[in-house]
Amino acid sequence: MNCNEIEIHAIEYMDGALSAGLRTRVDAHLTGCSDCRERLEGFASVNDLLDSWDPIVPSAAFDARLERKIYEQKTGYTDWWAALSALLGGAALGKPVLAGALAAILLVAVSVVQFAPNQTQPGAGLSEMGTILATIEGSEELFLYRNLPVLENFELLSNFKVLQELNSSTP
Amino acid sequence: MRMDVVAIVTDAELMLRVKDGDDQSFAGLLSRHREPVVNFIYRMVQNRGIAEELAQDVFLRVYRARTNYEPSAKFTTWLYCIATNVALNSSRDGKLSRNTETLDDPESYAARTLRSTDPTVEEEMVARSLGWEIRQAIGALPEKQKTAVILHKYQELDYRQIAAALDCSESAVKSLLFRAYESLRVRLSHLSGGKK
Repeated sequence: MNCNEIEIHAIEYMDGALSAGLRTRVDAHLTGCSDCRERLEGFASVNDLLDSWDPIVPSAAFDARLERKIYEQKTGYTDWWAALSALLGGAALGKPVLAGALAAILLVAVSVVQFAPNQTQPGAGLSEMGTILATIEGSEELFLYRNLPVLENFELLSNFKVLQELNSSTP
Repeated sequence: MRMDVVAIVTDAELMLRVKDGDDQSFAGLLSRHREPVVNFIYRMVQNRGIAEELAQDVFLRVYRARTNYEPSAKFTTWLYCIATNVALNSSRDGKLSRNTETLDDPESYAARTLRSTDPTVEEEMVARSLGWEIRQAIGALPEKQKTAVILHKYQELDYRQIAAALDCSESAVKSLLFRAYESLRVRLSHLSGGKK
């Protein structure tokens, strides 16, 4: 056996995977060839060194993420847009159609908010609320009510019987 | 009880059950191969986050291919063919940020420092230096040599399985391994002496 043949069998020799006959022939060559012997000893050392690269443990979220990918695969919902599209109108809706529909809905919503008549009663603005509060100023209960979060809502405030009574009793 | 049943069933049998719609069998395959596949790809890309992401892609491909699965080859051969393709494609696509040390990476200096104070400073430095040099040496190998070494050394695949994963002959695998070990021997020669 020559040095070139050793190259062919070196890894199997290191793995102990050679037949007895081939192993004897490799051993015979190594006895007389210091270069090949040194090389194969080096391979064995490298093999030992590689053992020190410890494995990692997959994160706890691995399965959950995979499950999500498989779910997406099964349902075909690869993103929120697709899921929304299916929810609104089925798979037939394309992105441009859906975008147009959403834009129209948004436009209507803005228009309603902008141009709808004021739902609050006349004189029930913030200044009126200040007036009411001013009328009960001096009352011991004012401090209590002022700190109630419910007073921030004028609808509730205007229907709040206790305040109405205070208001009417104040000169 | 369920685990006992899973343990005596071969991978191919489990995969055939998955093919028939049994998702529980897929969970069995996942529990067997999750860690080896993650580690194979981790050693390929040397980044934990990317490795997990790619390993999930591998299992997703396995699941997706369930309907066409035929047990013509060993399941692990098929699995590592997929895993090798995913890892090599990812590398070719340039998705990898190699040798990026983060706190998520258990072998990064920062993570090692934060994780444990048990080993002495000297032991820690030696381990860090050794681990880093091995990673660098393997990372510097050409992709096919690196894949061959990792499949051979860590996944313990035989030459025929590695040949299937790399789509080459068995003799080509032995040649790849020879060249890879020769490069590693030269590169890590200064460490070998202390290891004997």
